[in-house]
Amino acid sequence: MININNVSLAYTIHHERSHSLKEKMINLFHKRKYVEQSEETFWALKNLNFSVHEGEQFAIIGKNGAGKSTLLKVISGILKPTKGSVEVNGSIQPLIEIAAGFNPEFSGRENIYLNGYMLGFSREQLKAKEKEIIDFSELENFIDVPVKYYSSGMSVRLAFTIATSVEPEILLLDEMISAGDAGFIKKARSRMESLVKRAKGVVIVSHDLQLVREFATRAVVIDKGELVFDGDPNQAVDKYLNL
Amino acid sequence: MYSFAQTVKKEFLVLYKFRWVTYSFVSSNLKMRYKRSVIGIFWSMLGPALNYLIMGLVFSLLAKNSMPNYFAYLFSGAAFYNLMAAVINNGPYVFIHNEGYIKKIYLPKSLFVVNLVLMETINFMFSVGTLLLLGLIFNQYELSLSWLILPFVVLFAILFVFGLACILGVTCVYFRDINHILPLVMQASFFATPILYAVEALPENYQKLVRLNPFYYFVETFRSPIFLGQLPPLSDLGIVIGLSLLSFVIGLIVLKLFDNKIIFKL
Ligand SMILES: Nc1ncnc2c1ncn2[C@@H]1O[C@H](COP(=O)(O)OP(=O)(O)OP(=O)(O)O)[C@@H](O)[C@H]1O
Ligand SMILES: [Mg+2]
Repeated sequence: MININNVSLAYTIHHERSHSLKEKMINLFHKRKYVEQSEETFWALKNLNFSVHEGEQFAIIGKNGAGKSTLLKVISGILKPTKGSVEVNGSIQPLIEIAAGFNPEFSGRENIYLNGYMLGFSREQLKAKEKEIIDFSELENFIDVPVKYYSSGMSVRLAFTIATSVEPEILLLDEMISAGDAGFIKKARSRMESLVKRAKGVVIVSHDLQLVREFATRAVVIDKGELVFDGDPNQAVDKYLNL
Repeated sequence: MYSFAQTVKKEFLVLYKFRWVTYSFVSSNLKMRYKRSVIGIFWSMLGPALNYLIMGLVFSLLAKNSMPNYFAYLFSGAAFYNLMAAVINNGPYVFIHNEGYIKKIYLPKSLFVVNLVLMETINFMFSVGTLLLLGLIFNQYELSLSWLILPFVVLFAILFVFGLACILGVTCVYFRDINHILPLVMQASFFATPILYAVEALPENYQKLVRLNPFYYFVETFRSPIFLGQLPPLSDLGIVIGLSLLSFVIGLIVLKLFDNKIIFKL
């Protein structure tokens, strides 16, 4: 269902975080090269090979900065691999950086439509889902207010609900989302569970090792961008703990 | 050539797939601009008219010009120039202001450029519609068959600024400070384009200089049917078409080259 072939991904890191034409010009004239030197290529993923099959509940574990989120972005097509290729059969939907992607000037309702269309819903589908989204996120009274006046919990609730109203064949989850207050987290969890049940394949990234042991049918361990283990989740967790 | 045509076709198909995103983006934005109040609509229609009126009054006092229907001359040039300037001035922001979407989901980058161009075009339609009507009411000019060319001139201007916005958007991802320089350039080019004055009012050698300014051809082509009631010279029209296609092609190529690189710099 997902084939990862020799995938490597490089980030360019700017030590001076200024992208300025002025500086480029000045450097050009002064023939100083420090701007070039301050750029550094960082390989966040190194020659990864594995595939995820239909029906699998696949977990990716690894330390902070290991490259897990990057890998999910590559699978979902948001980032193109620097080397290698990714094949995906089936509709795919990443649940990452959920709270991004709202226009703060637009109302909640307008953002539902804008985001919904981006996620590939048709007009009819969105009209049918609109009420469910508003009800689930409990924002009836605020739905026509610009999102910039929402509390952070409120916008996360709305974003989570929109993102989880798509039912993709392949679901990519980056960390479990701690969205809003205790009541909402409980609701959110059961919504996630039913989404996972309906998906043909799930890839999760998690630091919750208990969850990985119980939930996953297969797991990989990533360390500094490299694949160091692929197989049984319990063994993967042990491997990870000994890193 | 063939593969470029394929690229354009593919791009159109993808944009068609995301047409509702464009619809919802543009309609929400326009609502934001216009809905605040009835005065809001009124103002955004008449605002440009009043603006040009003041500009025209001041300038005709200063320059003692004797053009009979000077306001028709002024507004037809200025409104059209402002359409192009609005897209160009916002061009650097097309990607950096949409960072949230770009990082969350894969979307064709041209989508953001199309949204910008479409929004400004609709805005332009509103204000130019009002102005054309006012001009007719106040007998500044007469309807003529040559007006039929106006939609095409607008279309070419759109292609022209689409290309520029692609290039500026990509450039700004790499060099964030171009958005400080650009408004100055556009301000200067407003005065360098015969909008407030007629080309003929310039000294001979400056007239040649004006012909190096791409906006000159666009503005002349749009103004000619309204102000003179006649089609623009074919050579001007040819230059407009050439410039638009050139800008569109280069813009699209730049966009394709950087499509997957932009996200790494946001
Ligand atoms: N946009 C970026 N530009 C440069 N480097 C980046 C960028 N995003 C991530 N990195 C680097 O790539 C590496 C992998 O990051 P990634 O977010 O994939 O880690 P992760 O495994 O998801 O970590 P965590 O467990 O903290 O979520 C890190 O070293 C990080 O600094
Ligand atoms: Mg992460």
